Order: sequence, then structure tokens, then C-alpha cells
Amino acid sequence: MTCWADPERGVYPLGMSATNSGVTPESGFTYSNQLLFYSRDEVKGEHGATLPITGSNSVLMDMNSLIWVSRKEFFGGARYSAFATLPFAKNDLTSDIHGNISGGSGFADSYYVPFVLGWNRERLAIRILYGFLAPTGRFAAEAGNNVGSGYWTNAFSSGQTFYLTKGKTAAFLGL
Amino acid sequence: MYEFHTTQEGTRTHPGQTFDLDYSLMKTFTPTKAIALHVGLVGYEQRQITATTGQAVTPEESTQRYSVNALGAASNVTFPKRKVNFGLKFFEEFANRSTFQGFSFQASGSVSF
Repeated sequence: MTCWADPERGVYPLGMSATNSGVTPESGFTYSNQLLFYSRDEVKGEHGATLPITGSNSVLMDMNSLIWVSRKEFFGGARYSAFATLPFAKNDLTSDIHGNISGGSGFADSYYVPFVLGWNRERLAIRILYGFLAPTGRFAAEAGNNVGSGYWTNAFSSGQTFYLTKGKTAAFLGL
Repeated sequence: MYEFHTTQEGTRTHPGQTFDLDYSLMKTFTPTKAIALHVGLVGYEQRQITATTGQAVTPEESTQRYSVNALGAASNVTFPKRKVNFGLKFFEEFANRSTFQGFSFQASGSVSF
């Protein structure tokens, strides 16, 4: 679960939890598949100026998640859940001058979240999560075909959904 | 999300900690009981909080902090009886610092059982 091979960013695939981040799914199992495509063709400097470097960087990720949610409730109606995300990724970094600089594809760094507590209320849904990314993707220091990051990541997060109307017809969500 | 990274295998580079924020403002339409349509605005932010360090990282590189900003649109279709959901999102990045800048297209589907 990472923009693996991209050294200038964190490992979280941005945007993937932009909607419904606070809502705990129904009790039982849920399978989720997300296809994420990132394309970048500008390089920004320290102060935001576009640098005179031409080329492109792209990352394509297929995220397979299996989520389990308990039926029991505790801590004021919270339900416990856990999930694992097994991703496949393809990345490419190409310079207009030097051609292909790096690129790789295959099984990438996987994301395991053994602890999720979620509260679904009438006007509010909240989740708190702890997870970690394991460096299961291919990585070698001198290689040009890396798919993994080569390091572990501990990730603490929370999702909130605020229903702005009684009928839940409008919502603001954040993670 | 707040990310704590360990040292990268083989390079001894220690990536800085990262803060991520995804968000949206969605409106729901329910033309029938069997279907719900959600449309709205989405965005994401990312900030490097602490320095990247290591033998291969220069002091100048270590002082830099990447930042990412994006806004876009999203739509989701939910079929409550079938416990199935499909979604599409598009993000355009702007005013990034110390990183690449571009766009993202995301498609998703889920089923509960």
C-alpha cells in the first residue's frame, strides 16, 4: 500500500480513503478492490517552482483488501475489525533526455491492519486504526526495477464521517 | 494517517515521518430504495514532518520537506440490498513542493458477504 519506488513521498497511496473513511462495514467479510493510477510530469522544487526537468513518473496499483468485522459491540457500541491489503504495482520513471531510468512490476509492499475500532452513530461515524506496511515488494539498493520500499512503516490513523443532514444525504469525511 | 518509517534496507537511509489527510464532501441521492448515488468533492494532502537522514542524504536534501496537495471529484454507486459498491475518483495536484506533480485516477469496487 505505497507509492513504492517514489522516493519523494510517503508510502500511503493518497486519495484511496477520501470517501467513507469513518464508516465500519457490516459485520462479516468484505472484499474490496481499488485500482489506483498516479501520473506526474512536473518536478517541483523546495519553494514550489517547476524545475527544468522533463520526463514522467507513473504508478499503477491494484489493491486487494479483505476486511473482517465482528458482530460483538463494546466500548460504547464499538465494533472490532481487521483487514489485510495485498497489492500489485507497476511503476515507471522516464526522462525525456535519458529515457527509462527505472521501472518495475509485481507484488508490492502489503498492508496489515490488525486493530480497528469503529463507532457508527446517527450523525457521526469514527474509526481508529493501527496498521503496518511490510516490505514484501522487491527491493535492492542498486536495482532499477524495485516495486517495494525496502523499509517497514508503522501507521496510525483515524477516519471520521460527519452526516450534515438527518437523512445522511450530505457528509464530510476525513482520514 | 501518520507514518513512522524504519531504515531502508541496503541504503541505511531513514525516510522522514509523514502526515496524510484524505477528505471529501459528498451529497447522496436515492432515486429508489435499491440504489444510492453519492457525488461530491474530494482532496488529499501529504506533508513530510521530519527529516530524511542517512549517509547518502546531503545536508541540503535533509532540510527539504515534500508537500502534496490535490482536489478533485468523486462518485459512488451503492446497491444496499446486494451489499455492492462502485466508485470513481479523480484528483488534480497543485502547489506541490520537493516532489513530482500530476494527477490520479482511482476506481474501486467492494462486496460484503
